[in-house]
Amino acid sequence: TRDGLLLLLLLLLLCFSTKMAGIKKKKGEAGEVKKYITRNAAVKKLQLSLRDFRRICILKGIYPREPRHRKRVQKGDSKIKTLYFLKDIQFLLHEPIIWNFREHRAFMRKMRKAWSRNDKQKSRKLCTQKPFYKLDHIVRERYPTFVNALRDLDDPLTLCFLFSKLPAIHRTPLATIEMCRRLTIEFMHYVIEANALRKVFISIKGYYYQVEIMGQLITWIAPHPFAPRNDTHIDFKIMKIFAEFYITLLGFVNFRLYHSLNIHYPPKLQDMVKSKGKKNRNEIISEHVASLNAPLLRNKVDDDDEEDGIDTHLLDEDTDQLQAAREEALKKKKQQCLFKGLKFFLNRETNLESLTFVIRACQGQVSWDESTAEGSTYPVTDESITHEIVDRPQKTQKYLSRYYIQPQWVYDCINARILLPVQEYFPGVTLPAHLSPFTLETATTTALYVPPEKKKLEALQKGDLPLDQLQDVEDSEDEDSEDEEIKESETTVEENKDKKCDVELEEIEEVKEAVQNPSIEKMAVHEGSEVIVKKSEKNRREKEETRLSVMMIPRKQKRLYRILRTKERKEAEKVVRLTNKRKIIDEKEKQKKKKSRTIENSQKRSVVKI
Amino acid sequence: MSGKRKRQDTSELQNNVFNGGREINCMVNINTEDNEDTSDSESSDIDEEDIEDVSDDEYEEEDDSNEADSLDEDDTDEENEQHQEDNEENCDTKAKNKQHTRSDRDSGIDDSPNDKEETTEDKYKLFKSKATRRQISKTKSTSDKDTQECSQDPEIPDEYEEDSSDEEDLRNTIGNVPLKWYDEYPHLGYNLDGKHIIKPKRGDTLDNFLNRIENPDFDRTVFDKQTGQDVRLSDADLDIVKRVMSQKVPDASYDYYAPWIDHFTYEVMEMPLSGRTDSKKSFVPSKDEAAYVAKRAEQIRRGLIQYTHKREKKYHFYDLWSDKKRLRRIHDPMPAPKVKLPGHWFSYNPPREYLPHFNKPFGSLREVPGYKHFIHECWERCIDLYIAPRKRVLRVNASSKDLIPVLPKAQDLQPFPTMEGLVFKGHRSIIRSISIHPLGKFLASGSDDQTVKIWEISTGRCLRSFDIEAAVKWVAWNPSSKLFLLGIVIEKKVIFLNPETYLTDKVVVKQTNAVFKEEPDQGDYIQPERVRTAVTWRKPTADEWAKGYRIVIDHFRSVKQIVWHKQGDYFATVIPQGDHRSVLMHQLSRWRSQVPFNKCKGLVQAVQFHPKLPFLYVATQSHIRVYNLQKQRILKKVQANCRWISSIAIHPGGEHFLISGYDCRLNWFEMEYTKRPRILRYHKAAVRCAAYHRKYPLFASASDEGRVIVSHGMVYNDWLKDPFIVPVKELKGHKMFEGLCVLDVTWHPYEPFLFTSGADATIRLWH
Repeated sequence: TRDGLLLLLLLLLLCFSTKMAGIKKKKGEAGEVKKYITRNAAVKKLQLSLRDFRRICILKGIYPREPRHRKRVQKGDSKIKTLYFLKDIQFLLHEPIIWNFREHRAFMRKMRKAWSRNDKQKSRKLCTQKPFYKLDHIVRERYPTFVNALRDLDDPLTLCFLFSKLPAIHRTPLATIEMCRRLTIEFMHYVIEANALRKVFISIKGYYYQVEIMGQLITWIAPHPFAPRNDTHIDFKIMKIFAEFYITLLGFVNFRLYHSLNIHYPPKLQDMVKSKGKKNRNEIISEHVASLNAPLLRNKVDDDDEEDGIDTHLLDEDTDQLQAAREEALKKKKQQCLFKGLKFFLNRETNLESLTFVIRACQGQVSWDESTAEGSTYPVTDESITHEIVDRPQKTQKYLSRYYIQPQWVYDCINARILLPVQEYFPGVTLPAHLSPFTLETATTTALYVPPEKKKLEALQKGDLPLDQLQDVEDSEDEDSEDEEIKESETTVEENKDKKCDVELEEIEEVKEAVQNPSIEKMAVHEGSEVIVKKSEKNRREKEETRLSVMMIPRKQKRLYRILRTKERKEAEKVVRLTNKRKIIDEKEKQKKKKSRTIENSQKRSVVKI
Repeated sequence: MSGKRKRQDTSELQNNVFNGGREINCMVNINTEDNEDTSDSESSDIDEEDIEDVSDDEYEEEDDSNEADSLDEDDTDEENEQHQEDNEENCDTKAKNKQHTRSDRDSGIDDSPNDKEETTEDKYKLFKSKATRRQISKTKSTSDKDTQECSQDPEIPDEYEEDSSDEEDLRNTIGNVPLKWYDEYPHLGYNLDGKHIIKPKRGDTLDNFLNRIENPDFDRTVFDKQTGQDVRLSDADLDIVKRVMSQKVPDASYDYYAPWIDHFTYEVMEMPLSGRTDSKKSFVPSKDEAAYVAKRAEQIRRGLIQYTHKREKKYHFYDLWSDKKRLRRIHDPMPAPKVKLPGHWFSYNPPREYLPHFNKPFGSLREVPGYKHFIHECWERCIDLYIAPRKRVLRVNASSKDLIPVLPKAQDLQPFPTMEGLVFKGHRSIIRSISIHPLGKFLASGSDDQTVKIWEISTGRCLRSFDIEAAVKWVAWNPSSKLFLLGIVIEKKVIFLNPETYLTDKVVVKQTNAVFKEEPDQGDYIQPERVRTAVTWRKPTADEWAKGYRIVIDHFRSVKQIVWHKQGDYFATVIPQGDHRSVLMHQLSRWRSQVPFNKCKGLVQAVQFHPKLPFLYVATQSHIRVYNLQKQRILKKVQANCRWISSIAIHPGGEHFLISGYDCRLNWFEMEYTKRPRILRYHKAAVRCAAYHRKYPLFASASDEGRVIVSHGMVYNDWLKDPFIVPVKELKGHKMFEGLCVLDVTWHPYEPFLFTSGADATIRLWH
């Protein structure tokens, strides 16, 4: 019992001592600090070289995070360091690929030894045992569902399209490039088969394609059909690592997509290809596949039409939304079979791949001269061709049965979702502007600048402007416009005068009434006159009101308000600038036209005189 | 194949042995070829029978040559005879050899050169080899040449004729040692009998010279370093030396352009040269190999050796998302923001207004070049994806209008002044202060032009103007209806003026005059020292009385403000530099003054009486203190939330007060809860003053930027309800002057009229 007592006493003492001292909180032991880890610490923890760390980060999709309080996280250091989540790094610890990295390092050591000893036999033997890793599990891990993968497909597609155009040199090995080429072609084939193309845009950077797959919008850029300029200062190692992962991802996505349409994967052609010349049969098949101009073999054909694909249960309450969604779906369907029944022939100097892809994605038929590339289906002489796409104006247009048009027509039609009048796209004609389909503005928006071309296009889409007579209408407009303008100005002046007069008259009447009022003895209800408030006055009052109410914005929102305000102001300035510029340009063009017309007239006259 | 190959090799070996080196053999062959033309007739005579013979002979020859070799070794220089025999033998073997080699060739071109020719040729060879040797020695020891001849005629068969390189040393009896070791001795090595070999005689330089002149062969005599003898070079030797020096093949008859004959062809002969049967060894499997194979097989069986099978492909695609299992993901995944989609700007053929000036769009699609930054942009995107830190940022997708609070319409909150009614002009300088008579009929204004003017409000006429001796800082009407008295502050003085006009109530004026005619009786009141030194009350002089002065109070320092109590008997003056006497209380009826505070806490800016209760609000730079005058106690101390207070206004209800500051803010305080004032950020410049309307729920504030803002400020009896404040009107009219604009604001006592005095020497009425 005595010992027990002693023990108790000791315990009590201990307790007191701890209480007296108080539990001090140390810096950097709790809170946000514990969530992050710097890059150097992470590298140390993983026991990897920096290069391997970079590789694993790229493959596993681990990226640095911006902490809320940098200084606090870095234990008082305000320098900018690369910070990762500690959890992410711990997650990396269990990655099997890291072992592959280590194996690879060992392999390289052996290899180097063999080389230095000039032991060719050994190095050859080692080469066959080169370790490699597969990224399947990482793809699965990063994209738990297929839709997730689709959502993140923009960058992979862009990079693969770039790589497929690169020359095979040491920095960009042939195997990668061929793989990229194969996968991009497969993807385009899927888009063709599924009619999933929504928007196309030819920019100075390249061709933007937007595709809708399973409700996800995927946009990518394909460079113009030239070998991209290879900058030597670019570190291709990083891009190669990305390409490695993207190839794996795209392969799995393609597989899944093909199987969703019951298409054979890897793609097989429906029709047997006749092998001409001495080329290898496989080569010819792959070339035909690459030409994008042959239907792919399907496992079985299902004829049942798909439904609208609108989630009606979500939109039940809002009938307007439902209506809008239905209209949209209808438009999409129209777009999908936009070129159905049309036969195109691509002349030389056109981008075969892009045009074939785009036209076939809208169910058109395409062909080209046999000598230009593999995969042409019908010759120029085919009478049933409806459109011949020509970029360089030719002197002879042999066939009356077809339109000769410039390639922009195809792209514009797809964006407009209707077949546009072809007159403006004849070869040699100055083309109408190619508008970006990705902008948000519509003809009714006021905050953004809407180019007049867009307004016209929308009118066409609505059916306000007749498609056939467009050209005539424009011409007549041009002719009449000058007179109209004069008239308009006159009328506006008159109107103004009238308005002023009205106002003055009313005022006078009011005064008269006021004078007369005292003379009226009987109480009566008179018909009141409408109080006309001047517009400027009204504006002024409104402005003042807003100014006063702006003063009442709470301080917390004031900064945001100011930011938004400056943004809006800039936007408004832009609108003004662009409209003014357009006006000037239009006027200049009009004057030019006038001049040319007068010259023509004078020439005619002179001819007549002669 | 291997068997045959081996046989060939052995025959070559034999040849080498016979002919003292492979090189020579080669040369012979070549030479014979050269001679083909001459010996064409004999060429095709060699039979296949001979081949057999040759093969038989081989063994014998081998033996012979061995003998010869052994003999050679023993030979000395003198034993020429034996050598001659040997030579003959050699010649024979050579002829046979030749045949052999000829038959080696598959071509079937045969030639049998004469023995004579052959011998000469052999000599040539020998000379050549010697000559090369000599050449070397010549270069090494050109200095000590000797003229001594060594008679070595090409005609006489030489004993060294058939020497191999090993045998060469035999002539040199000293071995392979430097010759200079024998410099001191008369001899040079020993012969077989153990006798000295005496060095050849060497003359001095004179002898040498004589020798050169006399001896016709001097030029071609060479000192052999190894034997220490002089050697005379023959013509053939010289020729060879010349050829070597001109970097040609030493043999003159060498044809550089002879067709190449591949002697040792890789092709297996159909009919092997030798008819030898394959050895047994070649049929019996090797035991070593068998053991090796067995060992490996055992290792494979045990699994010690693993052969890699078909390698797995790196890319193999299948349905990855077939199962629904969920793998662990990274913590809090944040998808990267998508690349911004292009607008019209980026079109290859945009609307013209989007292009920079003087730029034309591409006429057609074929003219569009490749984009040179494509790879770079792709690369930058990659870099961004893996190295850019990610953070969730709230993006506001609203327009600025959504943030503006919805206020009730100003029209619903009328009445309030909306427009400028009257402008009171007449002053010539800044009007510091204005005051309105409690009955609302007159307006008094004090200006820096040293005048006080009385205006009629309804017409805007100036009724009277009083010249005061200094700039007027403050004017304030006495609130009592029985007195017609105006308090004026100039420098250190406070003057009470009776500004009687023809419009004023005569009775009141008279009454006022009567009141101030005589000094009140002070009785036994003794003024305290503190007060006496600060304030002196005095009656105005006769001149001053005529001017309208009724009382003059002199202060010890300059006065800033005078504030009346609502009953009109008490008033307070503010002396900012007065330290502890900065606030003084005065009683008009008894001409008495008081110093209410012993201490001063900060610079006093303004003072105000509570409209209903006996409270005094004292505003220092950043604090407001409320005192209960009856109990002579501090009631409340309020932190003003303001760096420098400019004025204080108290709501007629008494529960709220307004503080304007030079830091551009207005603070609306509630007496009950002074911790959190309503901050009104109406102005962008210092707020000069603020004022409540006595009757309507209105208040106004004026700032240096030139704006007066009228607000609706409704106060509810319910304590829980916050005051309802809405700015309703913004009044602009005064002009800026020296950075000042509106200096004072006053409300009409019962009408919703606002009066403002400005630095532009005008007073404006807003209604």
